[in-house]
Amino acid sequence: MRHVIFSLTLFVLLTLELGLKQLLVIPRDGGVTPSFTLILMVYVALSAPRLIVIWSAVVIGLCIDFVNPLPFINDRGIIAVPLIGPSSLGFLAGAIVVLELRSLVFRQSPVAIGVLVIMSGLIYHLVAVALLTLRGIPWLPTDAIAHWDISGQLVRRFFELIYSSLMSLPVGFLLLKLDPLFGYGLPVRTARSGTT
Amino acid sequence: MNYWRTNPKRVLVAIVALLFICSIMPSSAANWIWSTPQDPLMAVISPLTKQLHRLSISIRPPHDKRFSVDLDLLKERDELYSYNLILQQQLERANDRISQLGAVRKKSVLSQSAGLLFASVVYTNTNLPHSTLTIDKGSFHGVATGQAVVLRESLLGRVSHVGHNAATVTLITQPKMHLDVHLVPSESTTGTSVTVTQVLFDDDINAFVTIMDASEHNSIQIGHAAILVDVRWPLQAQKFVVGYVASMEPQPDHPLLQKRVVIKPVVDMNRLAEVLVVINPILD
Repeated sequence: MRHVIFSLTLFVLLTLELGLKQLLVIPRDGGVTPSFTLILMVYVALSAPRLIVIWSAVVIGLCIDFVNPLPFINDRGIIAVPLIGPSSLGFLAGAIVVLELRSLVFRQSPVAIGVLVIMSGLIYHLVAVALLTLRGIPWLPTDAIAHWDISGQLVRRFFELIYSSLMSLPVGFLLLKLDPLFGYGLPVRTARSGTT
Repeated sequence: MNYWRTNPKRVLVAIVALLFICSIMPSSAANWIWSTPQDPLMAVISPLTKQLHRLSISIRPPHDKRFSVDLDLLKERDELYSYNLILQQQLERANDRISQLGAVRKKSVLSQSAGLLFASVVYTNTNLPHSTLTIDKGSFHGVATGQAVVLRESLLGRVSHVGHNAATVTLITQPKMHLDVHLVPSESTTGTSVTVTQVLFDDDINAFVTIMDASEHNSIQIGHAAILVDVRWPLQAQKFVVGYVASMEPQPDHPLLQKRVVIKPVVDMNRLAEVLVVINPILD
């Protein structure tokens, strides 16, 4: 049941992220929009068992890779190609960071989600940008992304992270209200139990 | 399935390796492999996404100037404002120069061919026995020794030394300077008589002084202008204003017979920034 709820939530948040871009965009550095899927990943990483967190991060990252194709230059001009891997590995790395830090935060707090969005998002974006930049290395059998600018990407992603962290307060609040539906049932840390 | 459950770490490592390989795959291969599974996912989310996109555009159109900040336009606007200020200052200075030139032409006997050259004051020295100005125009610009230097209708001095790109002007306000002047009614005073006298600059009171007969003082009023009529000065300097009558008092030595007339120069020589040099006409 919780996988169904997770899939539905992922569908809704992904749709909102893509559909409300024009409404939520800040027209700086190529357009800065919040990432609802990152907030979902942090919420799941806070609440779910370890194995579920890892698979969920990979699935969310795969969805992001599919819906955000990258521009490449070929003989026909510039084409949009779905490139699997950067966001998936980035989300995975971000989820591992949250797994390590979740015992230090109050899990029922949207503010904690906001803070962890920044921390996991930093790792996610760094990993994604590094993997995409790697494609520009000449001796690898890859072709670089068209008009790839590392500094511009990092600046834009940094502002997206700040924006996502602010949006995580209302979105995180709503996700926390859906806790009973998700039913991850992660035990709360007490004085007698060990680390979860 | 049992292998995956019992060896999750190995499975995770395998997935990470696979994703890494996918991320550095050539774009042609990636397009061939992943465009097929991409289609169903886009087919599922695109209907709702399109509706939300239409809603977003209706609320916030794409080129809403309330939200778009074109930094280049703002920078260009600021630069234009600054340039506009500079142009206004230049226009003000040009208007001031035009009015100066008009005043000089009107008040003097300059011939039509006499030129007027604006020069900036580089250095002022009013402390030594010879009060001088240094201007930034020299022989290269047509300045020559003996030429009169004026400001509006006031006489300042004459060129004493000339270099290639600079010149020294000896001011009229130096000790023991003698000038022959006419005392005539100015625009703010009445009367028609013209009195000829010689004035002497007194550096104690920083003004010109002349001693006149008591009988003549009735025709002189405070505010009368002292205009140059000295043959020792060039023709172009004649009829420029040396100063205005500031006070008249009985001469201490002969209070009933003579009056001491004090003529104050109009211009503060210490605060000159720009002057006019009357260039002599070129004689054929």
